[in-house]
Amino acid sequence: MFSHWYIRPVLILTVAVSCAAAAEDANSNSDRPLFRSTTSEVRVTFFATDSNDQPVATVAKSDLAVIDNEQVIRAFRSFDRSNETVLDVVALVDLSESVAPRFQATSSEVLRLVAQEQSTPSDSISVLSFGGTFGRAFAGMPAGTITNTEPEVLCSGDCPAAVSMGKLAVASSRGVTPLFDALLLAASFISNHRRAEARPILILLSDGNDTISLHTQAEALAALGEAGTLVYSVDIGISANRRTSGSRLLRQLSESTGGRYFLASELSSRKGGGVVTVLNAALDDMRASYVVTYDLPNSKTEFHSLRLMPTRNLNLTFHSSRSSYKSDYYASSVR
Amino acid sequence: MNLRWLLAFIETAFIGSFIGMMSSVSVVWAAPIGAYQHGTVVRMRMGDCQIMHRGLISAFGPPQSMAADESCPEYTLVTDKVVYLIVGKSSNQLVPLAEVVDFRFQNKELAVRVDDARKESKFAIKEMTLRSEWERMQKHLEDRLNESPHQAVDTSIAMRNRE
Repeated sequence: MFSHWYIRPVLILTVAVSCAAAAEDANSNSDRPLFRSTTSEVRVTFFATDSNDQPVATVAKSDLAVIDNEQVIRAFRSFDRSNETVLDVVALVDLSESVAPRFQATSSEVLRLVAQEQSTPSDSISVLSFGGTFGRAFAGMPAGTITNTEPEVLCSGDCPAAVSMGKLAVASSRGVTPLFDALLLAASFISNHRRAEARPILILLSDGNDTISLHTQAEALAALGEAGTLVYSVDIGISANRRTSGSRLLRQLSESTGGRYFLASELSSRKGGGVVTVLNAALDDMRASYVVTYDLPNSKTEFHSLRLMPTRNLNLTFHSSRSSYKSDYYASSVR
Repeated sequence: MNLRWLLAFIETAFIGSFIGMMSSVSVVWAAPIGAYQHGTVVRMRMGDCQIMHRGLISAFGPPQSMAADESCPEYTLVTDKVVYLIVGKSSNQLVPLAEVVDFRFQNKELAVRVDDARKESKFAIKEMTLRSEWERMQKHLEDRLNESPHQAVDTSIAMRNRE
């Protein structure tokens, strides 16, 4: 239960327990105390990018306003640099048949990213995959056969030494794409492996075309929001057209979680090259991050939507890992 | 003599065209500062774009021909006397949310000055309410909010029987 509270870093929750209530509970075995938390202050971590999609190093308090449930907020309690100093990186790799043309390049990129971990020991990298087969496929296996629908953890923080990373080298691009299920697994993985003062980011390498998930897109987005992770999506779809439904989904995932969207074909020409470029961008974003806090506005609803908007320069875009929060909720009862 | 007249004519024409050009530039960019009224945006939401497309719909086809998923920004702009509900023409027509917004009326629309872009952004006026009336309605809503059972609960602790 407490880990459930812990994954809500943007909220400072005030919980008070009444002794009288506890005593009353002791008299009745059928009653259990139910702890209720309320929000008194909202805390939002964000960074800004300019019209060239580059992080803005210095942002002033007067540069932004928060739209909290339609209400414009300019009076902030505090405005400081974020204290996050390291990244917890989870790479989620699509190995399904639809990304076959880019499969070899993607595998190489992920292996290169893992090798990067040795040069930045404070940052932790884990690799998860979905779709595909590991090892040799059966001779005569028809294309599209359901082979590996369960998302899988290939390595967790120990990737350079992990034996399971070798599986990626011999993996085949096959089968269906349980993208949303994989996102839920990744969100759960991130929540369970969270470190203090580390920013969790998810580097998603996919074409964005889910074909078989048990869960929905909304469920996946909600889980990512709960985990407080930023999604940096790398579009490895075969079409160079960014208007495909898969590309739109990847862009939406990134925008709603405060991350960024990259087209794989354009990454190779940038500094660092490939997925390492994405990691460098995430590091730059973290260094340019701020935390703003404000009093909870009066609202009828528990569910609050959040949006950060510029007050002067419309070329600024604000990225926040939180696009919504609940101001008041019941936790499960505790003995 | 003729040459002097010709030079004078050219000079007059040049000055006239320069003044004309400068005045047209100022119209394209923004009106003089004194022409603006001031207000504060207190609310923003993404609503439907119907008000902006109503003219086109009636002229070219049935209502269902409009893109259903399009949403336009809607702002509540509070001034000294009047509160305006204004709607943008497209999803990306945004107003910088500074403490004070400069605006003026132009052809039944509300033109908001966008400083950094050095231009004006035009919005349709969806509603106009006297500020005193708007404040009375806000107070009424706030009172109802405070009276609602959900908010009246002591938020420090709640006891609930488990079924």
